[in-house]
Amino acid sequence: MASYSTPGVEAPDVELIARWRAGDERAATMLVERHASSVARYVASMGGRDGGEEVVQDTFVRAFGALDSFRGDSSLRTWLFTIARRLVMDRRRASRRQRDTAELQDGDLATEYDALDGLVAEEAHRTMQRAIERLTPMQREVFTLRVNDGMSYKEIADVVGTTEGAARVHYHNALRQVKERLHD
Amino acid sequence: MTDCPNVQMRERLPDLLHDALDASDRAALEAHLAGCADCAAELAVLRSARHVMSAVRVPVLDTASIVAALPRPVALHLSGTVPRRSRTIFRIAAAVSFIRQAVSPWLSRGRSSAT
Repeated sequence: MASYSTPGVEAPDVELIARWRAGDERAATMLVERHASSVARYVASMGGRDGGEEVVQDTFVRAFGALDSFRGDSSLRTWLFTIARRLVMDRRRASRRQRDTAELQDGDLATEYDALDGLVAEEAHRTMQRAIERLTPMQREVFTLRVNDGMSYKEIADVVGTTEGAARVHYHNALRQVKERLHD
Repeated sequence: MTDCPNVQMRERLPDLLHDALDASDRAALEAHLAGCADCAAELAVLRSARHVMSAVRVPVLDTASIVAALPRPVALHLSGTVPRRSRTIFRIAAAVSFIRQAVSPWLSRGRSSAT
């Protein structure tokens, strides 16, 4: 199979998708290895810890099954996040949860301060955790995608199904509330 | 904590965390941060928030299982079937065989009449 990428430089997603379509199954492995962790982290950040691995797998199965409809208008990562988000939402509806808020549970956060003696650092960590938890679901999601995943407002808008302007407003509202709660 | 009035610089702070700025934008932002306590404080908040959010437990992923569950690409589906040209030849051969069997009784009667 001919390789079109420069040696030592990872092939871009678009090239790997083309190679997979042409029959190169190794390209699928590379795409999964490249994006699985970030998809899993996003699913976990939405409170989808239970069955998270299944959601991640379903995300990739659906994505690869619909690659013909992937036009490349957004990045593959944005598209994967969009699919994952829909799956998490479907699971929430299926489990008949009453509240829309997905709360992070204590066990969700791997506090590395278990190994450190920094009580002050641990308290600061938990203060920030509580500040983020108290955001509205949309604010938390937008804030996470902007700060943790580095997505642009355009990408965020595509994932959560809103406009760039609204994504910007949600981000700044979230940031303001986080700052206020850190100084409560 | 007050907000810096320079919206353009504030908007770039998350991009700085992810090393997503080009050289000139990065240099401009770093120069701004050197003289803006509000943006420096906001960057510290964002860095701390990212640290907390990235600490969310994620399941251990078995990427091999994920790949094994993926649908096969269309090209492999096609390569698993008979090539189109061969299919056409088989169809023609089948048609010839059918026609031969159909007309065989007539041919036999014709020969018998002749003899």
